[in-house]
Amino acid sequence: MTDRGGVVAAATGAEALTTELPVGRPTGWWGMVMFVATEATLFACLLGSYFYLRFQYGPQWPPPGIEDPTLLKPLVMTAILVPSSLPVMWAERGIRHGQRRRLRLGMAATLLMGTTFLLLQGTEYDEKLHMFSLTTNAYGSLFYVITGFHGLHVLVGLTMIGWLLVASLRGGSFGAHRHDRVRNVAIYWHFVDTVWVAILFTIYLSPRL
Amino acid sequence: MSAQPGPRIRLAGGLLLWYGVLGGAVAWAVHLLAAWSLDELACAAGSQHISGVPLWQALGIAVVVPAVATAGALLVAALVWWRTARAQAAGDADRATSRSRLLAVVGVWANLLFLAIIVLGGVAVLVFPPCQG
Repeated sequence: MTDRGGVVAAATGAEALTTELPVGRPTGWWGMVMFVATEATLFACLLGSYFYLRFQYGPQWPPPGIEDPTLLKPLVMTAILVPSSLPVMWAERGIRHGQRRRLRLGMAATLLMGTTFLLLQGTEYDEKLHMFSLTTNAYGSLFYVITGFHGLHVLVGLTMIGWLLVASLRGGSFGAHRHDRVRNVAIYWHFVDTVWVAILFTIYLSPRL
Repeated sequence: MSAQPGPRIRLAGGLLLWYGVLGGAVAWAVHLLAAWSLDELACAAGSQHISGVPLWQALGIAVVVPAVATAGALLVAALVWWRTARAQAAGDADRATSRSRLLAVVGVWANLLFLAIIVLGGVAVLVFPPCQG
């Protein structure tokens, strides 16, 4: 008990409470984290709007005339997008050890997976637009705005990844001590993947609950 | 300052500081989503119960737990503010102390605000009939 009391006293002492966490991060890291925080707020508002309108609409959701969203394609998209964080992590760890080949391969794999996700999203839009559009009703607006906004984020992430891939292929200055760009892009990509899981639950799974 | 605490103690202290700063905001978000969705889903289903628990009790939990978490964050922020004030008075203050003190002030005011929002929202949820139109 005395030891535990000592630990609590030490953890609530001025020295421990003024510990700066995280410490020693470069400005670019803070910029990306803050940017991701603002984007997360935006998605939280969009998903909050979805649930608000759903609850206000009544017991039948999606509205009459629109079927429950099918799950096969979104689940395939999830199976492609979510694991695409793995090659990014692999590439980031590789470049920390100065392995540029891992950086190139990881970025190329993520680029491929992300592009496949967007192509599948395009085919899904092609099917859905025959049933409802952005202006059909509140559900249509929410569906296209939320998924479209996320698709736009995937596109921005792919642009960043493509830029890293091209830079590394052209002999850009990457190495064990120069990988901040890779880490910042990785943060963004992990965020895009995480948001998709929230969208999958909200748009595709929650109407079936 | 006295001898530096070990890395685990510093990690605990740093996390405690962030809890004091952001705890109220996170607790309010949880309260909002939990209380609101429980209420709306139960009423939409035409029921006053959730898994056998009366709706008002479930809503009470969704109010009380976040309110307690926010009160805890408020106490932690006040503790940081007090500890850093003593360090400054003793002439031990460095830049990290000043930054922590600023965060503590932000935490105290933010947690007061979020506690008020949770309590007032909770009063409304618990006083009015949950499924009134």
